[in-house]
This record gives sequence, structure tokens and C-alpha cells, in this order.
Amino acid sequence: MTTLFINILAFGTLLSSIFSITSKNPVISVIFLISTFVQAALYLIFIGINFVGISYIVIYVGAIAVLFLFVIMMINIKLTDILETGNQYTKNLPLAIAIGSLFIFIIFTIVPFNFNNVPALSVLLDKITYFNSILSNSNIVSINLINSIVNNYFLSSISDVIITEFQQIEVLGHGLYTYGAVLLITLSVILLLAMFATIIISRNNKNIKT
Amino acid sequence: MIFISILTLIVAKALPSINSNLSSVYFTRISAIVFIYAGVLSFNTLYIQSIGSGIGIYSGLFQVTVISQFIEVFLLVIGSLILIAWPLRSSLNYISLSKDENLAPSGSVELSYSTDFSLIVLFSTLGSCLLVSTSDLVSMYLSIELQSFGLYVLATLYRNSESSTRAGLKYFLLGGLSSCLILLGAGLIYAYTGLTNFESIYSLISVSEVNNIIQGASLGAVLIIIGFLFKIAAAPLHNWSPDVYDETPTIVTIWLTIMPKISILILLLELHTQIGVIGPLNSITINLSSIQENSIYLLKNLLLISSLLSLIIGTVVGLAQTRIKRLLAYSTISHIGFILLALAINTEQSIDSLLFYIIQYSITNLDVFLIIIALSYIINNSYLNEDNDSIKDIRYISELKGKFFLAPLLSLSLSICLFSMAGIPPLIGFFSKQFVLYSAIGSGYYFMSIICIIVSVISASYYLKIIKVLHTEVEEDTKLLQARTRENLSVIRSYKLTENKYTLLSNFHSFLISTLTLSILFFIFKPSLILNSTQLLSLSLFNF
Repeated sequence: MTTLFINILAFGTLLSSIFSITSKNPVISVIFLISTFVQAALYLIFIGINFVGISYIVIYVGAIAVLFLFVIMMINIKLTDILETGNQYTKNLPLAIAIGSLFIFIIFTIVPFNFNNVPALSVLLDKITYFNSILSNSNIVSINLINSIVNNYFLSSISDVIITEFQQIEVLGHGLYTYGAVLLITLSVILLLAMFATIIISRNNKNIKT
Repeated sequence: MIFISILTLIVAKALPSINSNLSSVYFTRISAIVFIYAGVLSFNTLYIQSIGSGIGIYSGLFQVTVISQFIEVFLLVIGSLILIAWPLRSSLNYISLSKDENLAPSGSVELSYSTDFSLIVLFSTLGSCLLVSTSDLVSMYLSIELQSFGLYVLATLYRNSESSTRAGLKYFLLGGLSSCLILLGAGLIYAYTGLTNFESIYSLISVSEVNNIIQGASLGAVLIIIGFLFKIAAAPLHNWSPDVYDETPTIVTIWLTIMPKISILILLLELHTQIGVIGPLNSITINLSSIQENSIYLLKNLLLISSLLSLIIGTVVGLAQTRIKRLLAYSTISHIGFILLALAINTEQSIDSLLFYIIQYSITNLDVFLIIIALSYIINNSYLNEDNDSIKDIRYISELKGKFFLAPLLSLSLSICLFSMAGIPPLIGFFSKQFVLYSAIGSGYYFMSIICIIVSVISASYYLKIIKVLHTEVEEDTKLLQARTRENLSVIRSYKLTENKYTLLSNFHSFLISTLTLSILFFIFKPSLILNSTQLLSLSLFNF
């Protein structure tokens, strides 16, 4: 049940991200963007990564997307300009397909394709291996062995989830404040620099004259 | 330690910058002193006996080794030199001399820029100091972000000029892309090995025989190295660098060409030697997996290909340039090719030559850019008359024409620097090229060394072109020029009555130029000073 729900969420994420690119009206595309973020956050929470999911909602939906929406409503773009640029998406389509397929090819030649990630496929595969073991009826080729070969079980992160499921945020905070304290300091310096940089770039120079 | 001292000084400096009571001249001076002080501190840590093969500090996220400390000292000294050379009086008064009413506030703008400049430079240097001694994927990414984020801001700092804003935006987008690549690589490594610490990744690679994990980790390493090559503008990924270097003001260009490259190259050195050292050890063991061999040669081939391409592109495309900073950017690319060649060979001798090359190259480059700044002041002061509000930097080579007669010492030292970059024997650049070529031939890279020799001969031609332009007199324009200077003199005299007397160059600037030029020139008399230290460093990398 949850796997089905997760699949629906993943599909919805993809669909709404496509809509957010292709929709003509910028406001609607931002709303689709928000729905993409919400669905991705739900997906992350359902597969057990609580903290990242929650921070998705807080940061992207709460701050960035609403800021986008606000800015787009403020600047009030004419729709005709956007409609003209909308035709140019299909012009670059062959290039995008070529680059994307090349990337996928390279990734999948080095990274083995892993059926464990796609529940619908893995169920089918389990059935096949099950029938296989019944037919061959041998103890050596057990389901587990085939599963471990096909599904790459040694890479699965079940133990990870079980350990950190309950107190993920707690564990994160603990690690961040003891082991990675210097990382926290570095991050704070980066944020300080970001704040400083935005101030000096956007500052009005006429005020300094006095 | 040193980082903390820089940090506290940043905070201490940020506070008075709010009320801005202090004169901005002090800011650059103070931050230069901060750099020197931090350099002395990290030089002191070289004397700690236990430093040996490196100490992990901050719970192993950073690793202090002899090399990282030495490079840190070097970085800080170079940084302080750049800061001291910040143009102060001359540019200010020159701007305030101009007639336009609108330009009057730009003098004070210049002042405020210099404080911002020094603060951001501090941030960025903190990032590069961290980057040199990093030993963890997370801390690597954070420090490279800190460093390059400072650089993006630095490139956009002069937002009055359109070109610098454009350059900053371009730099920001492409730097963000390369950061994404680095992050993707780090994520892949983590997904396959579950480790972020460099040491444990090295040991995992050296021990494990599982093809899957090694393959994924090697993919991640390749992506990380591609990202770094993007940042140092090596050849197939070099397209952004001439534009950015050309469009930013010269004082920022110095910083962009020297500082990030040193630290990233040292990080690449650490990564590559560690993985490369593990390689031959594995080939001794009986059950070697072919894929692992592949991954090691993959990195090496990647570096070799990029060095070959950057040697060729840097020289051949550089021949057609008319803007001086574009030309210097292309020469930077070809020098990066030499450095990457020395990096890819990865023997003790080549590492020695790599360190020496980095040091000499940054000294020479600093000198060239300082001289260009100085010349641009002199030119600006001689043509004080008309459209001087926009021209601040030298843009075209042809502007240098006949400047030998205007400022003979400066142009002599510029030509010495360019000769050194081209590799004329008694100067420092010759020795570094010779060491790289020697180590390349010694370990059997004949094709690469032939390419290097051909390419350096070609590149000598465009350095010679600059020198020729510099020393030939302008024949038709002399009368016009004389008339103009006479006119200028009268104008200047009239201005002198009202304005205070402006200096052409600050004392320290000219002192710095002379020192650097003399060190390039007289390196042959006492070569042991740099050579011994680099040799010790490379030995320490391999034998501890």
C-alpha cells in the first residue's frame, strides 16, 4: 500500500515538474513548482528520510517558492512575451534528448541498474525467481542468492533506516555539534559572506557620498 | 590556530565597517598585516615535531601536513602582497580630477570598494586555506564554496561598470555548475562507499576488490576532478576564463588568476598522489582487478588529456588575441597545462617540479599584473585630458605602444617577466619548464614533452609580440602625443593649484614590482632557496 502511494507520489512529482516547465502562465507554473516540492517532501518522508523532507517543506515551499510567487505577481509580465518564448522549448528538444540519453547511458554502464528501487518491477522479478526456484528445485540457487545478485542487496540501506528512523533529527544535531562542529562554523562563515555580499552589491552608492 | 585568528579578525573588522569611521586605507593595510601574521603563525606550525605525515585536526575533518602548511604560508604572503598593492591615492585623485560632476562621487565609491575588497578577500582566503588542508568530502565542498563564493562577489564588486557585472554573473553561473559537478561526484562516492573521509576512502580503494564499489567511486572521483579542472580553467572547460579575466578590473584579475588556482591545484595534488600511490602497491599484489587499474589510469589519462588540450589551446588561440588580459588568460591556460602534466606524471621529481612551477608562476603572474596596473596609471596620467573616465585598465596590447620611452624601468621589468614566462634561460621560468620536461622525459612521456617544447616556442612568439610593441616608438603619433602632453602639463598645472599633488604610484607598489622582478632575474644566483624547500616537500609527501 505504501509502495503504491510512494509510486503515485513520485509520478505526481514528475508530472507536476513537467507542467511547471511547460505551462504558459508563470503564476501557474510556480504553483506547480510548489506542488512538486510538496510531493517530493512527502515522498522523502514516506521512505524514511524525515529531516530532509521537512526541511524541503520549510525552505523551498515556505521561503523560496512563495518568494517566487510574490516576485512574479509584483513584476507583472505580459503574457504575450512568454508565449513567444514558449515555442523555443521544442527547438532544443533533440539536443536535450541526446544529452540526456548519453548521460543515462554513461551512468547505467557504470552504475548497475538496480531493480530494488522500482517496486513494481521488483515484485515481478521476485515472482520470476520464485518460480525459477520451484522449477529447478535446488537448494543451492535459493531465492536469497538470486535476490542478492539481481537486486544488489548489499547496497540496500535497510539497516540505516532502522537505526535512524526514530531520532533522525536528534542524531543529526548530535553529529553536527560534536563531530562536525568545524563544518558548522564554516557554514556560518559562508552565510555571513552571503549576507555581506548581498548588502554590498545592492547598496546604494549615493548614500556613501555624504 | 590560524583559522580562528583570521575569523576573529574578520569579525573585529566587520564591526567598525558598519560605522565607517576609519579610513578605508587602513582596512587594506590591516588585512595585509593579518595575512602576514597568519602566515607567520602557520610557518610556526612547521616546526612542530609531530607534524610528520600530517595531523588531523577538528576531528579528522582537516589534515595538516607539511605541504599544506607551506602552501598556506605562500598563499598568505601572496595575498598580503596583492592587498598592499591596492591602488590608493593615485586612482582616487585622478578620478576626482575629472571634470564631470557625476563622477565626483566615484572617488568615494572607490574608497568603499577597497574596504569591501579587503573583507571579501579575507573570506576567500580563509576558504582557500581550509581547502589546502581539507581531508573530508564535506569539508572539501564547504571550503571550496567559501573560496569561490568570495570570488564571485569579488568579480561583481565594481558594479558601476557593465562589463564587470557581466563577468561576475558568468563566473557565478559556471562556477555554480562546476560546484554541482563536484557535489555530484562526492555524492556518488558517498553512495558507493558510505565514507566521506579521504583516508578511509583511500584505504578502501587499496583493499577492496568489489568491482561495483570501486567503479562507482572512480566515477565520483572523475566527476570531482572534472569539477576542479573547470574551476582552474583547464582546457576543454576553459571557455569562461578569458571573458571573465578580461572584463573584471585588473586588481581583481590578479586575485582570480593566482589564489584559487594554487589551492585547488594543491588539493588535486593530494588527491592524485594518494590514489596514485595506492596504484603501484596494488599492482604488486597477485589478485589485481583490472577495473581498478582502469580507474587509476582513468584519472591519469584525464589529467594528461586536459593538459595536452590546454597546452595547445592556450598557445594557439592566444596568438590571435589583441586584448592583453585575454592574452594573459590564454597564457595562464597553457601554464596550467604544464602544471597538470607535472601532476599527471606523479613521481617525486615531477611533484617537486609541480610545486616549483606553481610558486614561480604565481610570482611572475603577480608581477606582470602589478606592472600592468602601474602602466595603466602612468598612461592615464599622461592622457589626463579627454575620455579618461571610462579607461582605467589597459585593454588592448596596442595601448602599450612605445611605453618604453614613457616609463623605461617599468617596461623593462615587464619584458623581463614576459621573458621569464616564455622560458628564456637565465630567468626563473626557464628552470621550471626545464624541470617539468626533465621529469616527463625521465618517466617516458616523450610525446607530451615534444608537444610541450613546440608549444612553448609558439607561446614565446606572443610574449615577444608584446615586448616588441612595448619597445617600438610610435612614429606618426609622436608629434600629436607631444602636443597632447604639453597640453596636459598645462592642464595639470592648473589643477595642481586647486587639488593636492597626486602621486603616480604608491611607494610600496613600485618597491614590490622591483623586488619581484629582481627575484625573477637573480634566481639563478641562489636557486637553492626555493628548490631545496620544494624538494623537501615532495620527499615528505612520498616517504613519510
